[in-house]
Amino acid sequence: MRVKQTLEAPPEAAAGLPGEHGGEAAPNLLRRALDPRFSGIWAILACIAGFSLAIPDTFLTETTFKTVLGDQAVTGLLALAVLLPFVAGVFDLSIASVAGFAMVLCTWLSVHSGLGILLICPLVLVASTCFGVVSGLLVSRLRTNSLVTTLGMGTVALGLTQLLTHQNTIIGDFSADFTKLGQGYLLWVPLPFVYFAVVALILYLCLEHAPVGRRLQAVGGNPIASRLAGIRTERIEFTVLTISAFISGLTGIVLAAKLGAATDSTAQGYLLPAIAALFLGATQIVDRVNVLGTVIAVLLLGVGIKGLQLLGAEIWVVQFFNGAVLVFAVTIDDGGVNRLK
Amino acid sequence: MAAAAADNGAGRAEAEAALSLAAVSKHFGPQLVLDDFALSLPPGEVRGLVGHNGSGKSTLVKILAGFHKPDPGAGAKVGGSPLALGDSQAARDAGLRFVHQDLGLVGNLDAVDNLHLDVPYPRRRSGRIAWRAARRQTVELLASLGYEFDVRRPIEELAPADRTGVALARALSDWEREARVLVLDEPTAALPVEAVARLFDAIRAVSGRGIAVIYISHHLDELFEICDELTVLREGRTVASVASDSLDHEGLVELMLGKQLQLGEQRQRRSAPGGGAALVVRDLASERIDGISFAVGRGEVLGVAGLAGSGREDLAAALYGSVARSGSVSVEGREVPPRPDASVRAGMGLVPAHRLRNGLIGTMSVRENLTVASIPAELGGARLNHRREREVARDWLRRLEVQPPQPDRPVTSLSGGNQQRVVLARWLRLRPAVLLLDEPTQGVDVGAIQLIYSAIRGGAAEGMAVVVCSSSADELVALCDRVLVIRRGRLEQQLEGAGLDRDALDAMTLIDTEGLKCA
Repeated sequence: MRVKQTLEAPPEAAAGLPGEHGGEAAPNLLRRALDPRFSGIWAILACIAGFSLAIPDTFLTETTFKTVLGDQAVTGLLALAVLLPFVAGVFDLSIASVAGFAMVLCTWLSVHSGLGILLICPLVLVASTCFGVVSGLLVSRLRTNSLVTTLGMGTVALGLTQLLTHQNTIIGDFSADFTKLGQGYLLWVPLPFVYFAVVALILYLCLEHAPVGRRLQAVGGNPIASRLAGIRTERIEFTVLTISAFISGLTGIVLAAKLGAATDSTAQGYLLPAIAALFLGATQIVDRVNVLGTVIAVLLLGVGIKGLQLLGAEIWVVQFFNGAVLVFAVTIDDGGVNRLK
Repeated sequence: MAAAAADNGAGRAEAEAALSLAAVSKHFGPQLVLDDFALSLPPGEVRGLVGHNGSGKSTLVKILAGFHKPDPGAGAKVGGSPLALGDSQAARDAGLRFVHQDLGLVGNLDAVDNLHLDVPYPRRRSGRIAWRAARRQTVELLASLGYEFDVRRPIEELAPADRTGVALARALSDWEREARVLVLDEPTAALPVEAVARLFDAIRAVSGRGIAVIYISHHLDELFEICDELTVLREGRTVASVASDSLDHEGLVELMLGKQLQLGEQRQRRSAPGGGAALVVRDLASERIDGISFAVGRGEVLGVAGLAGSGREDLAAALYGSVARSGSVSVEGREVPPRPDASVRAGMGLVPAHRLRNGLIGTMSVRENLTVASIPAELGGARLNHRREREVARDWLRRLEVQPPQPDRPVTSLSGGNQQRVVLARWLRLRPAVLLLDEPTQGVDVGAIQLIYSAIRGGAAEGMAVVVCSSSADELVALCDRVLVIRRGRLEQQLEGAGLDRDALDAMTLIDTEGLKCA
């Protein structure tokens, strides 16, 4: 409930009544719980219930739980990477390619450089962030279209990735400690999901509870008016693309540690699910793209697809499902797409 | 009322007249905006149509163009054959052509394409467009009007003068067959001075072919230069229709404004900046402003008057640094770099014109719009204090009587006047040293105007230096201690104290200094 109070107008305030933090009656609570903005949580529960009844032996297992969280952590991190610029009205399509580049570079360096992983990781992060710096300079200074610019930068990253792989799978020469970072658990939760949760929490606090988030949303809503209100729109556009590339690089390192090996195409498949999660998330909690909604959407997509796979669905269902969800989300969300720059 | 030589020449030489109108009236609801207008325009004559805002000029143009239907009983003939007014296709077929102030061109297309927007392209027998012929015709038509430039460049890359040429050529692209009357509605509003002469050459070329021209402009010197006759409208009535060489600037202004000069009740005005200058401007120049210097004192409300295209629209943005500028702007003695964020930090605030585009963030709530210019101030530094922010917003909504005073509503759900007060509150909250306002009551309901005025004056009373740029003389007179008049990008006149009244201001914005010896 706390989420709702801080994110959105309390219904009492909209109705002109005082007492936003007063005690809530039970019917009020129920009405809130049934609000369509929380439908995602119900949908997750419904999926879990449905699949548990249909295939209790395979679905209701610890492995399923762990693989869903582990897989969705990567999708989720990339969804956050695309979310941050999107809030400020800038689209970043290079996220998956930059993550792939980071993953391959990390693996390649472990084999070919002889550097320790403690040196490799910062190097990879810096290299990945460079893509965001270039996109950010082009978009903010030269006023290029962000969608096209990042599509191009992403393809550049993909080209460099292929330069490293020569279309082979690179088996990483990682220490056990490093692979544990990708494959270990904190209690029952896969570590990658912990990273996702941490990044999500940081972004949530910045976007919803800090002045900087308000500025980002202002720029995303009306860059001209924001500039006239004294906001440095160019700096914001540059920064969000840079941070986006940084998160993508981080995701790549997580992927490398998780899989222990890399191909140039591994990360590519995460672009569409990430964007689908972003738009599906925009239908949740508040009527705009937001972090908590994205987290819910990431989990919903994960549970849904995993269940379908365990039901025996063939491989094509995954793409079909992701694509259909994206189109559905974009159709019912009227605020998000119109702001696409 | 000086109905000098009202032209009722509908009967005279009707057969030859390119355009004759009789008994054209128009009511909007109970209000009569055009009263029994008559006109007889021989081929090749350039007729100036003059009148102040609300005189009925634009209504007349819209009736001619077919946007409005006149009241029943109106008669119109084009080249002797009757025309049913109020039908845009009929007006076009009859040979009426229009160039509106915004020119109505498609910016990313070139001149050839723009000229063929409403005229078919020449085709080859195969059905393909005969590009070479189309291009040649375009070049020839433009050349016949005195324009010469690369017709394959997109319109938006052309100089303003050439763009006007394209609009003119487009209106006349089939003139040989059909055009009889060309109506130019404020064609020079966006033109630099040197381009006006070229436009006049083109107009002379047009009238030389026997096409009658109706020329509408606020710039009186232009009217005297290009027009054979002037028809003066005031409050919907034709006040006079006289040969332009029988009149001088002063006489024309008298006709436009009516003779009796009303001296409104004088508000207490400050005679001079009292607390010292908060804003000092030296040699300010931008695309439309050509070297302006002035100072505004603490607690002073300074007005800026000027016609459309005079540079008045640019002034607030140039001071604020949101358009490119040169010269120096100092707030409280410190020079401010030309960027909006630097201006805000130096203690300036801007309530811009075109609220929806420049002022509001439509995706956000009232509260978020109110605090967006400076979020951290008292709202909890790094972590936003939503509850405190809501209280601050509610307080300001109450102070400016915004209805409804609910900080969490979407800002777009408010009426225009309430939206404007939210933008105003955004700055008043920060107590800037300098508050700039551009058309502060644009699109604001009448009831809200006084509220906005008193909020602005309240800001001045707290010591803000206030600059109000406005196209409304009434507004400037009601609000300001002193008014600067800008013409053609230059500071021409300053009115203050008893000399600041509506008619003086209107006269000043309209006339060149040489044209008027005394106000």
